[in-house]
Amino acid sequence: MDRRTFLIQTTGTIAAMSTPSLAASTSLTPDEWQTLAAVQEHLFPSEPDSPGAKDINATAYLDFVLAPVEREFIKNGVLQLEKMAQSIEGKQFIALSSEQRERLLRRFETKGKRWISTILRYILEALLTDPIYGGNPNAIGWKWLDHQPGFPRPPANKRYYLL
Amino acid sequence: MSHDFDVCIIGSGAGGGPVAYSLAKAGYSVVVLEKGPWFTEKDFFKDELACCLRGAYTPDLREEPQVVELENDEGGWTSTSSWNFWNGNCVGGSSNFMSGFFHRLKPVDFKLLSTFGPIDGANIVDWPISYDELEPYYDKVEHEVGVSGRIVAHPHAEPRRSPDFPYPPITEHPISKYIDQACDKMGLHAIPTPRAILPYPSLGRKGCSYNGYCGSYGCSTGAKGSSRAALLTQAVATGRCQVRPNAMVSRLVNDHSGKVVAVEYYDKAGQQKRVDAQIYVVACQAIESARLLLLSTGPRHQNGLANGSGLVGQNLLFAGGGAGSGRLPYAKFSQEKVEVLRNFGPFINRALQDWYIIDDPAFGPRQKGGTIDFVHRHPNPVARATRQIRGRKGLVWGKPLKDKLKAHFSEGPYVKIEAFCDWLPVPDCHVTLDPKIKDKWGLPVARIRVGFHVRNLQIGWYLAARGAEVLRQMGAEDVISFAAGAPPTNLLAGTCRFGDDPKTSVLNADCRAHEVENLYVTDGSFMPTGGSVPYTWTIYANAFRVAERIVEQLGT
Repeated sequence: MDRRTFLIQTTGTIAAMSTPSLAASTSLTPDEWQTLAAVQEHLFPSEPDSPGAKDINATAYLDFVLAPVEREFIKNGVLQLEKMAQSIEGKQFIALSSEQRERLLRRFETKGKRWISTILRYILEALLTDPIYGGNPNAIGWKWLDHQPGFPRPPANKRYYLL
Repeated sequence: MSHDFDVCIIGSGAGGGPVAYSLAKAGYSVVVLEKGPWFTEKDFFKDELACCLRGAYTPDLREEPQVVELENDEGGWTSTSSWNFWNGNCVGGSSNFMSGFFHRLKPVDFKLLSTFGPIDGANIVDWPISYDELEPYYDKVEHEVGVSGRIVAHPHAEPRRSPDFPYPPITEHPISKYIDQACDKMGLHAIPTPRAILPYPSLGRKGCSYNGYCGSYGCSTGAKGSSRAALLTQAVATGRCQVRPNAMVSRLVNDHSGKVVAVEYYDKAGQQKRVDAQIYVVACQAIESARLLLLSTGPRHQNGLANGSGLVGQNLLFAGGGAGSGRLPYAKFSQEKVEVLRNFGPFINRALQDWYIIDDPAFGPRQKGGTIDFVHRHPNPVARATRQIRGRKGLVWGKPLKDKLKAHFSEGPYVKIEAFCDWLPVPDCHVTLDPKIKDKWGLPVARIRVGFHVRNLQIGWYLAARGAEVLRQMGAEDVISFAAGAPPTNLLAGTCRFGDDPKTSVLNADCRAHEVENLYVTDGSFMPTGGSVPYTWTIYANAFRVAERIVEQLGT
């Protein structure tokens, strides 16, 4: 199955629900998604005056966008991060304080830079791509950065994987 | 002998469109084979994922890789499949996604060798035609494709038959005026950049909507003069031109006489099909055109079609040059001016050609320079935001990333410099067939060696630095300028250079293969040297010129 076919099939499932569901994932467990969501929120925190990962549906967007090969890469990163959290702090990532998360992720960065930058890239996609893809709800990211989108914007039946 | 069509054109971009248009209008039957799908204005949206992040208009690299060889630190070559030079596989090709900066070549570009002499390590030659021979066709493109602009006098202005462009300039951003003022002070000649964009409805197309997203995007109004919108639509309307999308040509079949007798292609379902014509025109962009000729061996063409000289694929050209940028910080301007600077949609459209020839003793002997374009920073938000995650001490995230994003997006517009100089033809910049890797149809893929001449870098640095001086004069901050050896991936030429001698060129002066009487190549492949401007206008003009030769050949 190629990426396009995969995306069309999975988005069929997603489109059937009002919001993309974590249950649509095939290879990450709910616990792993929880860790990912915590990592995303640490990398891109919500603040009173600006949106963070949870405000832009970053986790659902990641689930929607990951191709099978990358999904494995993300999952492996979660497993390694959790392993590191256990060996250094004796706790799960989500049980750590903000300072501990920062320390751990900086340490993880020395070998896992590509993993963190991949997560960051998809957070920024969730922040700034067209809301039709599930991130950037109500153009919250565009509004925050005073960004003016182009027109016409893509309708649901002309999303890139349907072209 | 009857044929399916009079002319079969392979590739529907800037090289194929003018031929289809001219031949169909002249009463000949034409088939255009395009490997990609047929999108129209109704399919183009301002979707960064589609155009740029997921490459919806280029092939899946796992199905159709290209192999790129880059020079490594040891002086050898390292190959990678992570790079590629696909630029828009759909009807109209990459002209759908161009910015449409339309500069003509200048008379000097047709005789670089005789004007400046040889350069060590570069295969420079004069063209077999002069500027005067191409000039009528530049003019034709202005009218048939639609070029907007305004002529101003400057020291390196090329001669032209009509006093001004048929369309006035598209609406300009207030920054253009600041550039003019800075250039006036510096004694430079800012030129309104001609654009292949209609400022208002004409030629059966709509005018520009000024939504701020142009280059890299398909045009949703038809204002951009893509081969599809400007030429193929009209060609099809004659009833004599058929465009077949999703048709991947695998071979030009050639017989014992050495002539091309048919084209074999795969349709969307993967079925092999065949079509024949009196004359065949190859226009798949320089890399893929060379690949197709190399794949099309035959009894008289053992080393590839029209390749007796061994030069098919050689002397590949990209666009040399440099780049730079500066920011006009809102904090430095009055509230009134800030409101003006916030304007989003109109174009900057300024260029400098004061250094098209560099006569600067501090820099060296009189030599070929180039063009500097001033443009908006590309508006794509994800691309801009993603650059902010790189920090001096590793990745930037958390609150520092958010602060950086806020500052980047809201503290004032950037002005960007794009400098164009000749990409000198060198032996280490070429296309061959990869000995191992094949695409999904089982055809060997293009192996592209990307060597460059150090002169590209020197001129690129020089021009970018001149552009940066203008930005500083405007009051811009954080001004940077630079050049790099790695080529931009969107401007391709060379690989089938034209010339008078069959031993040293692939095509004759009419862009017909020396060795194959019914084969023409009309994309940028014919160019033996590239000039110091983007190629599209020259490709259009030359294809219109060659179309007249094809009409003559068919008429005899």
